[in-house]
Amino acid sequence: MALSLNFTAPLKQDPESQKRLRQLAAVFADQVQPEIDAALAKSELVHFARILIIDNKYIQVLTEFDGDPMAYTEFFRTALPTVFERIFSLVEGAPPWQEINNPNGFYEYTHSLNLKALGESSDTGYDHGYLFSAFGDATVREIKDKIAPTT
Amino acid sequence: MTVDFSEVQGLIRTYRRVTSRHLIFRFGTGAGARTFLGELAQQITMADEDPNTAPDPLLNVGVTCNGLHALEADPAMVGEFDAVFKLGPPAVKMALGDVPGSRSDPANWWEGQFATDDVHCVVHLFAQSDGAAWDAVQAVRQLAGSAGLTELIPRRDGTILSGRWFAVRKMHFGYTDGISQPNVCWDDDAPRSPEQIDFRNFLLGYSTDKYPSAPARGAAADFARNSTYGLFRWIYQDVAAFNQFLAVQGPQLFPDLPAIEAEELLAAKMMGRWRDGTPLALAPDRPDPQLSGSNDFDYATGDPDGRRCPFSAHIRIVNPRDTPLDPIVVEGIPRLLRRGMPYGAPLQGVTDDGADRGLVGMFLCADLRKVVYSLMSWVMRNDFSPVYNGNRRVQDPLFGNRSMPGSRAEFTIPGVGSEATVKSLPDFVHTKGTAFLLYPAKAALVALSQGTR
Ligand code: HEM
Repeated sequence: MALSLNFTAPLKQDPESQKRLRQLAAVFADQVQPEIDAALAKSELVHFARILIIDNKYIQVLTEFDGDPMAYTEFFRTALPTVFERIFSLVEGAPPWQEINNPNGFYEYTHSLNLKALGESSDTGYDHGYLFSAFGDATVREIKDKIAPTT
Repeated sequence: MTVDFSEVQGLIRTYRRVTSRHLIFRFGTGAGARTFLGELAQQITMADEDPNTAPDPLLNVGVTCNGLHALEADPAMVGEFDAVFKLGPPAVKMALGDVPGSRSDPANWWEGQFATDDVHCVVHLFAQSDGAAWDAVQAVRQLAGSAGLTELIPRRDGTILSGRWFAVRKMHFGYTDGISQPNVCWDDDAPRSPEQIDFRNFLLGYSTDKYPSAPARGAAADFARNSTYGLFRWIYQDVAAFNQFLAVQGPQLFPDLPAIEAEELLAAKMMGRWRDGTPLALAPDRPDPQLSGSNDFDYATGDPDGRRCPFSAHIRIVNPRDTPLDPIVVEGIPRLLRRGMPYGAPLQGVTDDGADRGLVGMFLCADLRKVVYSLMSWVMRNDFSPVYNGNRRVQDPLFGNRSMPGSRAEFTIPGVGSEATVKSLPDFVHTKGTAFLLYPAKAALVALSQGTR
């Protein structure tokens, strides 16, 4: 069963940070998205991913993931350092990037931002809350194998 | 830079004592805890002592994160330690494979005698005889009692955890242990052979980009220097179920062999070594006394399709050597110093006698997060390498928890016919307790006991 990752963090409200937030939104499609696309494709574990801004007050990174999403924080830190640095620089209360730009700090900080969804996970054990899946517990790799055109 | 062994707890070296005791404590007052640690510090075996000639007992102490708090260590400093060390084992139960509702559920640990959160420190004693071990236990208990500690007894029958080698380096299930240990280079200035492993994989306070550990820098790293983390794991082994499995499945899988040889071959396929230690990668057909101590082998060139050593064999999971890894596994293969000992009397045959037996596992490293999220998780689900493409849900046939969501209790053995798959693997082990420990260096023990950190 895929697990959801619901990073949610409050955004800094000072004018300078809000200006940088608008800049991020403006260049996201052209500059940020391709980088994320490449990293997530390489991971072969992420089903879906998106980033949301709510009323300029919160930022959310939402993904559906095969297995424990905290297992591979190090891959994402090393694959997308500039993306995370940019996002966390906008987050209220985030430690300076040089403090969390290491395996332990990054794991710990991202772990602390992950919100549990309402309800209960249908898998025993994980405390991530409810997530509907029409594909049972099929993984990204299994789905890709099944839908690959046969030659 | 050379490691000062007088600073490091001796557990980093191999002890050759026949028996061990593991005393688990909860501290009382901060002052009492500091007194206890201060008194005990003088008896701790450090790595500059030769463990072969040192008198009984060899003594080491590990402290949990809750233990550091109970010692009233500076909370800001403790905050810089390994995130998984701080979370504690129940919080990462799924990564450990200790699935709720299964027999390894942390709610059942320590036979329900106490909560994992109550564990503040574990004192390990190693001795040459039961008499010496018993004397040492009494001495530590006396010290603990006078310093207001509460001993946590992990069994309903009132007994404590005690390891014992019942035959030279033999584990329950009949395998030989202690063959493959990392060859560590403890000196930056010494010439280093390619297979040598940097000591920063095991010691704290030397974090670099290549060998990161937490605390990474500053006063907290100074405090932690020469300490190491330990994963302390009480693992029950169901020998009767294992013997039964071999007796039934062995002859079915290898019908051309006499039954006893078929059982041995299946046992070897599950471990990756014959029970005498001979690696399958070097000797796939029969054990070879010349090779029983060999650790000089790889997999990718000599056995790329797993026909000698199956991809899911225990040692091919926990040290895949040169097996290609998925791109997402950027941290590579963590290395461990294994310091465990079997406990409980050996059992022959297929009828269980109800006795407790297994492994008192002690795994030392500098990065608990990495070990828990890779090695421990890979045992539960083999999905870290392209060699598992086709079925990435399989488990370690010996040590996987079959209740792990998303896993399949199957064992694929390439090369039998075209390929044989054993379905419905039973559980052969379950976890009875786990603690994440810090084995403080000498200076750290002094600072903790004097309340200066
Ligand atoms: C009851 C539980 C276990 C038993 C009886 C057991 C037994 C063994 C044996 C017999 C060997 C081969 C001997 C050798 O290479 O020295 C071995 C190797 C090893 N085991 Fe385990 N093991 C257990 C659990 C674990 C766990 C939970 C881990 C950690 C995730 C682990 C990590 C290792 C490692 C790293 C090696 C060395 C592999 C190599 O370098 O080739 N073991 N184990």
